[in-house]
Amino acid sequence: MSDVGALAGLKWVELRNRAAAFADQSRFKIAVVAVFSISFWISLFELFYSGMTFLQKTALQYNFAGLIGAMFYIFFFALTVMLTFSNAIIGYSSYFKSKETGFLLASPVRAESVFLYKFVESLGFSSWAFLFLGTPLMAAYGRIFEVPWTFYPGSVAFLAAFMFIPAGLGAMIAMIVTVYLPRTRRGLVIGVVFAAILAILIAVSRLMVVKGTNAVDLKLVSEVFESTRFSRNPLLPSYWLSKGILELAERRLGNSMFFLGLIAANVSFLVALAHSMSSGLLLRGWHVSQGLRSQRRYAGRGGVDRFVSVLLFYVDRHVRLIVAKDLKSFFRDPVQWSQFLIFFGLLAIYFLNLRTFAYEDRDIFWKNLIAQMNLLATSLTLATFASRFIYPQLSLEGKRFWVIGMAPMEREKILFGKLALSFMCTLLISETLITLSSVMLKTPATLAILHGVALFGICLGLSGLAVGLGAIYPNFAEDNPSKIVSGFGGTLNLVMSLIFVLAVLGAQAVPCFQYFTYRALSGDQFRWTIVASMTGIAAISLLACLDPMAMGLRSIKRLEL
Amino acid sequence: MISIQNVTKNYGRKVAVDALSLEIGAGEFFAILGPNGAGKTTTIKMLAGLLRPTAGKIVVAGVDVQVDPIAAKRLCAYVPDQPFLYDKLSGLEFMNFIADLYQVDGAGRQKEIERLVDLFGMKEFVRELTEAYSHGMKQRLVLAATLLHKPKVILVDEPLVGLDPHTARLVKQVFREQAQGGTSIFMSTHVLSVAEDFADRIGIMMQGKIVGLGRMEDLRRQAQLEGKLEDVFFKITEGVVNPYE
Repeated sequence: MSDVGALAGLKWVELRNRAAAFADQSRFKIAVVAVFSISFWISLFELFYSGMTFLQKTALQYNFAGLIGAMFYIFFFALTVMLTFSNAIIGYSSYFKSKETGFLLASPVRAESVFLYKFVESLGFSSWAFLFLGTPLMAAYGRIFEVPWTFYPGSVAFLAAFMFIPAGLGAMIAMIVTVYLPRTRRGLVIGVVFAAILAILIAVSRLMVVKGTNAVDLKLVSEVFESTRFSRNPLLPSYWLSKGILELAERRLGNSMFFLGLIAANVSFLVALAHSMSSGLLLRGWHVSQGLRSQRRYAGRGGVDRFVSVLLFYVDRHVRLIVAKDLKSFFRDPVQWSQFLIFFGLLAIYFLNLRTFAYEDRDIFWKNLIAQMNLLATSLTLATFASRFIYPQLSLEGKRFWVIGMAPMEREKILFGKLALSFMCTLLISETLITLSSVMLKTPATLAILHGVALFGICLGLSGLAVGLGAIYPNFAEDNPSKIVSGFGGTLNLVMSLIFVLAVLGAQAVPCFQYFTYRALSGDQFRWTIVASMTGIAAISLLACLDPMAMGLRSIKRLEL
Repeated sequence: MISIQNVTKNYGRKVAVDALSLEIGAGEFFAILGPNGAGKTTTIKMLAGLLRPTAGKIVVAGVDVQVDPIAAKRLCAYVPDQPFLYDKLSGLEFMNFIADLYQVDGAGRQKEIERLVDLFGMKEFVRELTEAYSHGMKQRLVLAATLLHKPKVILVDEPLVGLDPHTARLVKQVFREQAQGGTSIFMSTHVLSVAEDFADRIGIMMQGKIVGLGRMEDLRRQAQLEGKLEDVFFKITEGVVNPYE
C-alpha cells in the first residue's frame, strides 16, 4: 500500500471509530448537538435574510442587487484574508508542532504525503465554519432574489472548491515563515500576527477615504463602491467566487462555469505547488521548529505576580496565586494570546473606524442601531472567548491537577481563582471596547451606561457559566483546548452562553428601541423601563453565574484524582 | 551499522551535542547514559531523522540519514520516551497501520501481528481503543508495532520508565533477542543495571560529549575502580562539570 493510501486508511478508520463512539453517547447529548447546530444555521439564515430585507427597504433609490453584489465582493475578500491567516496559524501547529507529525516523520513516509494528510486535516479545521457561514448566506440570497434551484448546489460547489485556495496559500505561508523567518517561537507568532493586522489595517484604510455624511444616500454608496474597488479586481480569487455565484443566480450558467473552472484550475495549481514545496520545506520546518527555544529567563516573581496582587488585593492569597499562574501560562503561549489578539483586535479596529461612516452626525435611530449591533458583536465575541479560553481552563490542569488539588487550600478556591481571572479580563476588554464605541458614535449617556451595565452582567454570567460548566464536565485526558471545547460540556457551554447573551441583550434592547427608535415611551416611562431592564439583567446574570458555579463547586469537591 | 561522524547540534547558543563520533556494529546492544540534558534524546532524534545535525554526518546501515531519510527510516524503528498513539484506533488497527506505513505485506503479515500480540500479552485488550490503555499497555503496543517490519536498527529512548516488572523483563528480553538476531539497539536509559546487564557497550554522555565509552571492563579501567556500573558512572562523571549547570 502506498504511504498516501495508508494515511487515508488511517483517517477513515479513525473517523469510523469516532462516529461509532459518538453514536454510543447518550441520546440527550446527540440531540443537544443536533438541535444547536440546526438552530444556529437557521439563526444565521434569519440574520442574513433580515439584513438583506432591511437593505432592500432602506436602499430604495439604489440598485439593490448591485449593492448586495458589492457586499459579496467585500465579504468574500475579507473572508479570504482571514481564512488564509487562519490556515497559516492552524497549519503551523499542525505541520510543525503536533506529536503526530513527529511520529509520521520518523516513519518511512514521504514528507509530501505527511503534508497532504495534515493539509486535509487543517483544511477541515480552518474552513468548516466557512461552509457553515456561507450556506445560510446563499440560502438567504436565493430566497430574496428567487434564483433557480441550480443556484443552491452550485453555490455550495463554489464555496467548497474555493476553500482550497486560502488553505493552499496558508500552508505555503506557514512553511515559508517557519523555515525562513525569525527563529524564535515568539518572533514567529508575532510576525504572523503583525502581518495579519497590517493587512487588515491596509484594507480598512482604503475604506477611510469615504467621507460621506449620510449612510444611505447615493453619494455615500457611490463612495463606498469606489473605495472598495480593490475587492473587485478580477485577479483576486474572491472576485472569481463572488462573480461566479452572482452569474449563477442570474442564470448565466456558462459564465458561472467559467469562474468555477478558474477556481478549480487555481486550486489544482496551488495545492500542487504547496505539495511540491513540502518535499523540501516540511522536514526542514520541522527541524527548525524543534530547535526553537525561548532565550528568555524568568525570575521567581515577576510583573504578573505584582500586577495580580494589586488588581485582586481584595481576594484570597491562594486565589491570587492561581490567577497569576494562569495568566503567565496564557501570555507565554503565543498560540493562545495571538488568537485572543485577533479576536478583540479586529473589533477594536472596527470601532476605531466607526467615524468613517459619520454615524456620530446622524440621528438617534442610526446611533442606537449601530450601538446595539456593536454591543451584540462584543457580547458574541466574549461568548466565543469564554467558550474557547475559559471553559477548558480546569480541564487543562489535566495531569497537573494534583499540584493544586493536593495543595493545602480548599478546592473551591481553584474555581474562584478562575472566575476572578475570567471576570476581570472580560470586563476590562469589553468595557474598553464598548466605551470606545460609545465615544466614536457620540451616543447619549443613558445608552452608554446601559450598555456598560449590560456588559458587566454579561461578563459575570459568561464567566460563571464557563468556569462552572468546565468543572462539571472536566476532561483531564486531553491537552488540546480545541478538543476539550468540542466535547459535550463545551457545546453545552456555548449554547447556554449564546442563550444568556441574547436574553441580556433582549432585556436592554426593549427600552432602547422603544424610546430611541420608535419614540413610544415618555421620559418617565423610559426611566422606569430602564430600572426594570437593569433589574432583569442583574437577575439573569446572577442566575447564569451562581447556578453553574454552585454545581461546579459541588463537582470539584467530589472530584477524585 | 550506525556511524555518527563528528556530529554537533546547537539550539541557538546552547550546544546540545558537541562533535560526537560513535560507531555501533551490527547486532550490538549499545546503551547511552548521562544526566538529564546531556544530549541523549537529541542524539537519538538525530538518528531518527527528527532533528538535523548542525554539523557532521550520520549513516545508518550504509544510508546517510540526511541524504536519503526515507530509506534510512525504513531500516530503523524509533521508540520515543512518550510514544504517540492514535486514541481513536484500537491496538490492532494501530499495528495494521504501522504495517501499511512500512509496507509489510504478504501472507505473513497477519501471522506476525498475531505472534507479536501473543508475545506482548495483548490479546485481552488489543481490540479496544488505545485511549483506554494504561502506560504499560501503550508501551507494549508500541514495542510490538516497532518489531513488525523487522528493523535493522532500533532507537529507544528510556523504554523502561513506568513499566511493571513483568513488562520491563519482557522488554529487556525482546531487545536482547533482537540484538542476538543481528539488530543494532541504541538505547538511552537511566536504569544503570539494565545497561550493565544487557549492553555490549556503554557510552556516558555529559554536556553533549562522550566522557566514557566501552565495555564494562573498559569503563572500570577508565574509572580505575572495580565495582558496579553505578560507582563507575559516578567516578567518571564526578568532577567533569556540574551536570545541571
